[in-house]
Amino acid sequence: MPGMALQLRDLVFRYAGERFALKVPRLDLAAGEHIAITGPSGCGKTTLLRLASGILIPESGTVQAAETILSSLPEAARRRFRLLHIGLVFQTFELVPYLNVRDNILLPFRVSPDLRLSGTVRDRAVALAKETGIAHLLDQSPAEISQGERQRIALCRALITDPALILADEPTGSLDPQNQQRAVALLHEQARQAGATLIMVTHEPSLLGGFDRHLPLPDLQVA
Amino acid sequence: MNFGGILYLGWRHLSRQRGRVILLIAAMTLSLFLPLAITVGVNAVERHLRARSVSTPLLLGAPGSPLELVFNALYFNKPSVPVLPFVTSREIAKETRSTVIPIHARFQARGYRIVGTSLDYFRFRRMTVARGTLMGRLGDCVLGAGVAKQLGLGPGDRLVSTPEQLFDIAGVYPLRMRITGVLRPMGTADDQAVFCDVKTTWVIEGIGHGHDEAKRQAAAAVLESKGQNVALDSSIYEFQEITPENIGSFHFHGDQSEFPLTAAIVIPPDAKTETILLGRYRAGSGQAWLNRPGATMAELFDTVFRIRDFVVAALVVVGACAVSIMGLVFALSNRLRADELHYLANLGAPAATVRWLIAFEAAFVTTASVLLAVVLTLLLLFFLGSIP
Repeated sequence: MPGMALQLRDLVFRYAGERFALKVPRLDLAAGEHIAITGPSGCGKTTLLRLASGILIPESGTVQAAETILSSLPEAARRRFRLLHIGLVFQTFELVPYLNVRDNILLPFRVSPDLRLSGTVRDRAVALAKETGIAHLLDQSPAEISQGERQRIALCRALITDPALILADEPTGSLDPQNQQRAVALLHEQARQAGATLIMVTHEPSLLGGFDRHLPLPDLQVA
Repeated sequence: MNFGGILYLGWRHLSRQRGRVILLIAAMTLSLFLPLAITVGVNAVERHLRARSVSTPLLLGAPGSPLELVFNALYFNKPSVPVLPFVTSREIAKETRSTVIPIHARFQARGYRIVGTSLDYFRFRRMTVARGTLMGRLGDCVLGAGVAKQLGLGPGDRLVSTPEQLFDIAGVYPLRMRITGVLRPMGTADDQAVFCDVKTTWVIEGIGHGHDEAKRQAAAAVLESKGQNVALDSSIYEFQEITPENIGSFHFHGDQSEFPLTAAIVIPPDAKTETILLGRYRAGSGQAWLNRPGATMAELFDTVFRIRDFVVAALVVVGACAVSIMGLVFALSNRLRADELHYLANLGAPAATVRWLIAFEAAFVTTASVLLAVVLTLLLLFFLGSIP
C-alpha cells in the first residue's frame, strides 16, 4: 500500500481533569515521508501519536489521514481504519501475555474481520522475526523473554499488515545501541519498501540520521 | 466478525487458565447435574418400581411392614420378613378360586436371591425360558437372564445355595441345585433371581432333607428307635444334591401346612372376590394381611417425592449461589484482563470482538457444564435402566 499523507490542524487535546493541553496548530506529512518527533518526557509525544492513530479524539481540530478525516469517524470506523492502515509500536509493547511470540506478531489477523491469515502472512511473520533477531523465540511466551526482545515483537506486529502509516512510540527504548540501529533501519527499510509514512518518537539523537525531518514537539506546539 | 480468530484467542486464554476453568466447569456441572440427577433418577426409579407393583394385584404376607413385604416379594431384596404358613395361601385358593402364587425368598446363591415359587409365577409374569426348560423336580432351578450372564452358567450346570451363616455348623447345609434353564431377559428384578420350586427352598431351610436309609446305618449311629421313627446321630450322610437316585429319600418333617412362605401373590378372579379378600385379610387383624402393592409403593413415593422436592429446592439454592460466585470469578477475571483488552482496542480490534472475547470464557464454561451435566444424566439414566 502506498504511503499515507497526514495532516493535523488546530489540534487541541486535554486529558479529563488535567489543566495541561496539547496544542498542535499544524503538522503536515507527505506520503512516504519519515519524520522523528523528539521532546522532553511528558510533553505529549505519545498523546500526539494516539491522536494521529485515532485512539484519542481531540477536543478540537482535525486529524486527516489521506482522504479520511479520522477525528470525525465513529469509534468502530476508527478502529477498522487503524487495523487496516496503521502500524503501531507502543511504548509499553502491549503484548498479549497468553499468546506466544508468533501469535502476538499475527494478532492483527486474529482480531480483524477484514484481514485474512494465510500461509504468506505466516511466512512474513517468520521473515520479520528473522530480521529482528527473534526467530528462535517464536514459540515462547512474552513473559519468558527480555524487554528488548518484546520490543522487537511489537515492531514485527506493527509491520505485519504492511501499513501505509507507521507510528512508533520510542520503539528502541529497551534496546542496546546495536539493536537500536538495527530496529530503526528495519523500520526505515520496511516503510521505504511499502512506501509507508513513518512517524517515530525517540529520545536518542543518534537515531535521527535516517529521517527526512526531525520535529521537536515543543516547536510544533508553538508553531 | 472474525469468529475463527475469536475462538483461537479465547481458547489460548483458557489454555493458560486450565486449573481455574476446570474448577469452574466442575462447580457448574455439579450445580446443574445434582438437581437434574435427583429429579430424573427418582422419576426413573419410580416408573420402574411402580410398573411392577401395579401389575401385582394383591400380596399376602404375615403381619408386619407392607413395604418390606412388597420389597421381598416383588424385588427380592428384603429377605428377613416375617413368614406366613403355607396353609393360608392354600385356603384362599381353595375358598375363592383365586390364583395364589407362593413366594419364599429368603436364601441366596452366590449373591443372588433364591425365589421358591410355583410354575404359575412364570405364567403370571409372562416369563419364558431362553435356553433349557423350567424346573422339573425337587432340586432344580432356573436362572434369571442377569444371573446366568454374570455367573456364566447355563442348563446342566450346578449352583450351590449359600449357607445363611458360614460358621454355624448346626445350621442349614448348602444345596447343590441343578440348573435346567435360563429365562429371557425381562428388565425387572426377575433377571437377578434364581427360581426353584417352593419345596426346594424348604429343603434349603432344612425342613426337608434326604439321607441314607436308617436301616443301613450301623447300630452305633442309632440313638433311639420307636416304631417307624429312628433317631440317628450326626454321622448319618445327608445328601447335598438331589439326584434321580436319591430323590426318593427326600422327605419333609412336620406339618406341611405350617411350612413358611415369605409372601403369596393373590390374583382374585373378580373385583367382588378382591373386595371380600381385602376385608377378610385387612391389615392390622389376623395372622395374614393382604395389601395392594401399587398403593404401598404410591405411599412410599409420596414420601420420596416430598423429600426429593425439598432436596432439589436446596440444591437449586446452592446452585444459584455457585453461579453467583462464578459470576464474581468472571468479573474478577475480566478485571485482570483489562490491560489485554485495552491493548486489543488500541490495536484496532472491533468492540464486538473484544466483547466476544470477554464472553468466551463464560460461554465455554457454561456450554461445557451443560453438556457434561446432560451426558452425566444420560449415563445415570442408562445405569438406572440397567438395574432390574
